[in-house]
Amino acid sequence: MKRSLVIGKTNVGKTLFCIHFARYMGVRELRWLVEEADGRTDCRVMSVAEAEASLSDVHPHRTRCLQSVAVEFPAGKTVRQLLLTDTTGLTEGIHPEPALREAMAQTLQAMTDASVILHMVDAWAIGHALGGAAGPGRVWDALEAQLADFGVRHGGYVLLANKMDLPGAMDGYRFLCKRYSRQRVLPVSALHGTGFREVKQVVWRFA
Amino acid sequence: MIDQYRHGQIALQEALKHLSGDPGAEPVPSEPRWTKERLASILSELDTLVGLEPVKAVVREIFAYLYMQERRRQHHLQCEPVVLHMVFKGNPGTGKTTVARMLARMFHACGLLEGGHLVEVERADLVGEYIGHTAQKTREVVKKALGGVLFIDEAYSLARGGEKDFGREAIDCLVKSMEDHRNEFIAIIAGYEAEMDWFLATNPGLPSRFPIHITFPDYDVSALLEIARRTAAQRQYRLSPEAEVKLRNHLEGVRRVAPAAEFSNARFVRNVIEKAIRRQALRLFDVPRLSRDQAMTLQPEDFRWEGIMP
Ligand SMILES: Nc1nc2c(ncn2[C@@H]2O[C@H](COP(=O)(O)OP(=O)(O)OP(=O)(O)O)[C@@H](O)[C@H]2O)c(=O)[nH]1
Ligand SMILES: [Mg+2]
Repeated sequence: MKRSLVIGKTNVGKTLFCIHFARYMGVRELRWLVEEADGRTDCRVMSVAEAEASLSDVHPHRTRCLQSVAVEFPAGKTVRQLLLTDTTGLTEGIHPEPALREAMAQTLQAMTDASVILHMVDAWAIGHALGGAAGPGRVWDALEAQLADFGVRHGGYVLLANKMDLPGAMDGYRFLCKRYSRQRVLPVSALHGTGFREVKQVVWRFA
Repeated sequence: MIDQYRHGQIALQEALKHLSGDPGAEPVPSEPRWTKERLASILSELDTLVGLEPVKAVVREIFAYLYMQERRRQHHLQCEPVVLHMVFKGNPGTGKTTVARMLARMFHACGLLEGGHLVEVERADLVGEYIGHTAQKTREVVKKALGGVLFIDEAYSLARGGEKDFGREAIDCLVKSMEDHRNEFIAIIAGYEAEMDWFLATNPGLPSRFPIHITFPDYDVSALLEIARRTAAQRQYRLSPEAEVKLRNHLEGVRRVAPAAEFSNARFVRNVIEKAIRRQALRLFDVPRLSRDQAMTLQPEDFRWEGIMP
């Protein structure tokens, strides 16, 4: 099964997006395929509410593995399946914690053979940084730029500007559109499910 | 590459760069660009300068900082881009050009400047006669200085002419070139201390762009004598003890009467030696047979000060 990989820095909303997008695609019970960084795999079944409560929160690096759900796209008479994979958030430099480095290395590895890369960023945080006095490096740091760079070369790349429900996120979204005028930048709210239709339209073609 | 990240050897961005097959991705330098020994050998050139202790101290500080940045980079710690544009303050003949030329070589030796040459200019080289001429001249000068050091002597004279003067245009053009060619050359503006302080104070854009200030003290008499000895020695001459006494007395006298800003320090001494060498030739013109010693030695009567600007 082909894989669409949700990547991005920590706490941008990758996990919440995966949960809610799966629900949007009609998944009622989430069957997670969990791939630990050390190679072990596991299957976990839970409801959307349970997933919201246990897998996503405000603390950075909540997710430390690959966790995937299969979503189905009707295509004519058949259905195509696509694995929607949530990943460990990436941070710049060398993370001091070996276990997290392991997990981030796993994300990098997964990036090399994904069919679709959904690069999620926190448009609200970007909008905020734009308003502040900090230089452009703070708004869009080297890591984000490099992730985008990787995506553009890799193909099947979409930028997801998340947290559009928050005030000021529109500024962040506009910044991204301007900077990546030749890429697809989709505004979404992982929390409320806005913008999911557009994501679906783009992603199903890769299934 | 991913393994290297896993083992904490490289930063995540570096692994990513490699993954995207970035053609510009260089292998991660595991060694700093310069070793401590290399740095010491670069800095040893400073020891050839007479006196100038405060100047040497600042230069050592700059290089220690650059070295530290390199070492921090190895640990993937934050590195500030170092702005190396400088202000040299001091009276004429205190070694500003000499140090600038030396710095150009030193920055070249440690890989910061591609060429390492010095382009020395003054107001007339930058300021033109009609509108647009100045920007053109300044740009050409900067172009020549790329990869090296642009040394602007008596830089304050660019602001001397008031609002309508073309000097202003030269300053603006220079500042713009410094932005456009970031890291491609180093600008050094030089002049008398008081004038340079005024210059920086009246051009609010300048101080932040020239963060390094070096003050060149006047040479004391024994330093001037040492410079005299070295200047002579470079040309295989020496001063007789009597000649040295005469020169010392004169220098002490000059130091007492001339206002510091009007004495040209090392330049005066070099000119005195040049003139003494010529006078010695005249003195020995009719001597049929010369010993090696005679041919090398400058005597008191060879030292005359008339016609040499103090
Ligand atoms: N307002 C708002 N908050 C959101 C949105 N998406 C995520 N969040 C919040 O952002 C925080 C992080 O969300 P997660 O889904 O855990 O983020 P993640 O990218 O998976 O983070 P890690 O796994 O920790 O790297 C949570 O508190 C979410 O509730 C959104 O669209 N709008
Ligand atoms: Mg997560």
